[in-house]
Amino acid sequence: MSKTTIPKGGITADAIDATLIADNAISEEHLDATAITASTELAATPADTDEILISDAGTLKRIDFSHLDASKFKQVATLNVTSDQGALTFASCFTSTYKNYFVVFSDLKVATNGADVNMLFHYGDSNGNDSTNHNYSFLRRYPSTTAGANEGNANDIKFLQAQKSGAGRFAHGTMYVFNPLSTTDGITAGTILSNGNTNDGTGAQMTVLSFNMPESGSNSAYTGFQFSASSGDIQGQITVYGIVNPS
Amino acid sequence: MTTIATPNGIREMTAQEQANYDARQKRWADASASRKLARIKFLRKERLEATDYMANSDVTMPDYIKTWRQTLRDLPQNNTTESQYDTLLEQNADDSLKHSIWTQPTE
Repeated sequence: MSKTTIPKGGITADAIDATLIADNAISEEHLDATAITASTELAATPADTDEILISDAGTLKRIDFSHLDASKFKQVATLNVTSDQGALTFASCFTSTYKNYFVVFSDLKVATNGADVNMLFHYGDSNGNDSTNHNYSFLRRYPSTTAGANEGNANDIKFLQAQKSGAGRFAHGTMYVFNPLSTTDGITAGTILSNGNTNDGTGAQMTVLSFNMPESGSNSAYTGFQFSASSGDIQGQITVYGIVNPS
Repeated sequence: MTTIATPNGIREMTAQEQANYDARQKRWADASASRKLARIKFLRKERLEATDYMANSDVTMPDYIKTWRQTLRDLPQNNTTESQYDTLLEQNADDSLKHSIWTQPTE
């Protein structure tokens, strides 16, 4: 059977629609990179329900972005202030979405030289509802010595002692919070690792601290927390991540 | 009114937050003298421990070290006011302690 050549000029632009292209006929040689580069840029993290094309053992399928996001730490709240504040506070960052949380704090600065840096929990989604009983043990390394102690039913958790104020004096660290919403299935607890410039002599201090909350369950669940200085104000950056529950 | 930082920005404290903040400032101020005394005892402990080895039977502790250690032990009873605590804890510009009692004598 003879074939008829149809000259390119004999086909009207956009005349070939989807019904005239054979199934499975579009291969890579017919696909130009502009299919991607000329498309509108999303310029943001895809939503969980955004879709991507994938070859599943040779069969094209669509997949939700949520299945590709392997990160196990999800940012739930953050703040960054470079002016002195009475406290750095998160009233309701803990929710039922995650059981455990990871907190990164950096560039903490106290306004009062020698003030401690403290943490306490909020309950009832209110910054004003503060936890008042805290049990913790710590090991603190000063420039030349090591000190350790236990505190029971303290007003708050002191994770840096006698922090030095002034330019270039910062505190950094991380905190895990386990089970903050617990009222029946175990106590709220956590760990804090911190470094700072101490006012107790020259150099740096390092603190390793573990805490639990004896009042867990007697108050409502802990919904947030607060960093503050034992005297005067504080500034810094804090980000809270929810740790994805095991599947 | 004191301000407070939240993920949604900076705002003035509520009355309850301000009361908590004020209570914190008062606790700190009320504990000022005891905090300084604790600091003095900590510094004293550091220095006593650093020279404890001289009390071993195979070491002879010099008299000037004995005198210094006794002076350290007597610090709380010989310094009882917050002003005296401040003098003991005064720091140089490089954060080192200014008072000579904190420096181990050499003879």
